[in-house]
Amino acid sequence: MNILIFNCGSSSLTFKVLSVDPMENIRVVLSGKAHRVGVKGSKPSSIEYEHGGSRESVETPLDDHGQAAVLVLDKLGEIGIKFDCIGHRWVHAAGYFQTAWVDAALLLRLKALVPILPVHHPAILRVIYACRKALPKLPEYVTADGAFHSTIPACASTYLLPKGLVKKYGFRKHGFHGLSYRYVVRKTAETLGMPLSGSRIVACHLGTGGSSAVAVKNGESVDTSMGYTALSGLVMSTRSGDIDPILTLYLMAVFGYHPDDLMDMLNKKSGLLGISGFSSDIRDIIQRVGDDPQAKLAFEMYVYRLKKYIGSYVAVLGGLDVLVFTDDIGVHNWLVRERVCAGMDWCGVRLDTQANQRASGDEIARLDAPDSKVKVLIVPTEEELVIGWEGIALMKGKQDAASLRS
Amino acid sequence: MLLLFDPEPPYLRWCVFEEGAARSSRCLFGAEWFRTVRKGAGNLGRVKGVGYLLRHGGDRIKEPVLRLTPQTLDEVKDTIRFLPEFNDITCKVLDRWTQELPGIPHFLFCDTAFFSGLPDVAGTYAVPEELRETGVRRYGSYGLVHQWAWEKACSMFGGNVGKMVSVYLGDHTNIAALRDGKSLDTTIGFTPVEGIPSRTGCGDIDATIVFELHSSGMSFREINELLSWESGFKALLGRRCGYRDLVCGPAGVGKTEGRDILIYDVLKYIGAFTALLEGLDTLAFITRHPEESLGLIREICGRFDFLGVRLSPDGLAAGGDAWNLSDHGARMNVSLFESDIWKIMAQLTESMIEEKQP
Repeated sequence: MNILIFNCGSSSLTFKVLSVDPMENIRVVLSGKAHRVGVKGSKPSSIEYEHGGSRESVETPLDDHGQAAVLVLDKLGEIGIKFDCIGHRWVHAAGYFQTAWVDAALLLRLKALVPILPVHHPAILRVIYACRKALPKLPEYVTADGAFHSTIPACASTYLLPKGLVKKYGFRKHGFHGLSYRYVVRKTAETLGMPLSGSRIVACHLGTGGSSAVAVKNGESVDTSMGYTALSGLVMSTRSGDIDPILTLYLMAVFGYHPDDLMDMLNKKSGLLGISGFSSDIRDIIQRVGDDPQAKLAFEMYVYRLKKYIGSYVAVLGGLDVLVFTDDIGVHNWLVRERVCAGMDWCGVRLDTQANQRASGDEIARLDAPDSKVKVLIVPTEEELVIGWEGIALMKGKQDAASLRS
Repeated sequence: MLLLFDPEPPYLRWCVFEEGAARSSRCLFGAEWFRTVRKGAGNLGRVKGVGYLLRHGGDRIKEPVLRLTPQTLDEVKDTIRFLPEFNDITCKVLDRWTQELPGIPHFLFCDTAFFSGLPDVAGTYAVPEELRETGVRRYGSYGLVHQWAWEKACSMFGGNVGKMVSVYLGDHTNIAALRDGKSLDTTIGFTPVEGIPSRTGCGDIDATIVFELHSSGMSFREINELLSWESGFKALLGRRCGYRDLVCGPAGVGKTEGRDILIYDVLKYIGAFTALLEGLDTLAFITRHPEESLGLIREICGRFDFLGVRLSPDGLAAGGDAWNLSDHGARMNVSLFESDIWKIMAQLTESMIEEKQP
């Protein structure tokens, strides 16, 4: 059985074809990524494919994610790769589903969830519609990213707002990066040969777009830094992370900022970009830390906020067994890891600074010093594989249902 | 005799401080407030000084205690935009009383001053410079109490205090990280709404919620009212939602939930501040209600076993206002201080009056 997976970023579209054998071993047949989707800039958009040991990059205009998906489907047809179903990552399901087949009823529900994530959700819907149009008979499913956080207890997920309002709008901490965390936690346990029961893990998903941290107890999420939306928590590339809600009112009421403009500034012009004033890319910022005070502040705030979150999760977990870094910045930026782990002796973290600098970031690696009580790991994430795991289970259910009917 | 004021919208708290004792009252801050205070204060001829607590010093007032002059009055008015409900009361009260008693010294106590030296890394919000230029930064509050707690802890534990987390437990629970007497971070942000939920304030929430409420038709004023005065523990417990309602008496549905949230948030911030201090030697609790808080404190400290926190099983010795809670030989200093904002203000006022005399 083959499964095609689509994973929408705000300006990218990652895709993979997974081949699943009867023992449920997964092999990646083809993978790739569409870059700069819907971005008007100096660099051209492109789609990159990796298949059968060869790599290929095609420059092409990409107006939206739907168009990118159509081009990918065409390419797969051209190469002759077939698949049995298509899985999509859905970001914010507001607790309605973990994984579900796409049908008319579900589409209505998905459309109602657009306002919660006005950038990601419409992009995903475009991909779903593009697939339905091109391959109307092929089953499609969505897997919700936030489901991993459904185990967060009320004391951590509740916002103390009037109850009627909470009920009407569903205000609560949802959390994100759930697929990534599911993958990373499973791989961490496998790598260390450690039972999840009784374990205390803090994982940091540090992406070039969004970043978050999670506290994991017995393999389950018990708290995470993102909230009702992806705006809160850590300092991110262009998102502010935690801010006083009243300061938004101050800026609108006293200084006349329009709500739409302010929302846009907090999501797209804040974070590293907002502090440094010149870049949302932590690599650019690190290069100028020595001579630009704003770059220095941006880098320090990024590290500082993350350290605070790790500290708070250590307190919540009552100590720490494993600290894990994942996603682009998490696996590739040794300086971020070094600074974050500095002065963490109080909770038993000691980094092997040489191993940390040497790590390629392309594979799982241990970074803790021999005398460290806490194990420190980098685990490159594979959200698409988790969507694949869900697809396998769904298809199995379908086959079971079919065999019952026959 | 000293006359001291503390805004607590919709009320004004005030106190006559004489010979070490505070006679404290509260009145609605309405048309009658001045007459009420005047009547209650007695013989105004005996007043040697007047003190006003300013909850938010904005971006200009950075002194914990300030002798009021006509110039400083303008500066105080400029702070109203930062915390209108509170600072407006302070401004009106000091306007009226400086006129009423022109011949004696008047002092302003600024509760954010202690945090005006926060390192940029803690004081800055990760927003564009254009927005930061409007005065948006972390100001903290309850600085008078946290600074006082540092001094108390130093006299209790001697030279063994360097990295301290100071936890104020009350209607507006908040926490500060201190190193060598200086503040490094605090749970309170631009306004006292950010941080740990308070009696009526929502605490940390996703700011997107503000925008969603606005697009559903609520005005800025209504949203501010909702987040500042209708949320927090009031959302769980209704009218009786003060700190003592939460920690005293039998458990109830909203109460258990509220207590869990309070403990959880305190736990998280102690952890976060321990991380930025890179370890901890002193944990100080401050409250107006020591006896009632002891159970809560034991519960919180029980979760920091792994940091070497160990409490003595003894209760609080009668008659004091400062208790060493740590067990013999425990790695971490833990203390409990009974705070009284009037005493703190009176001490500072008296030392300022003495300073000015030839």
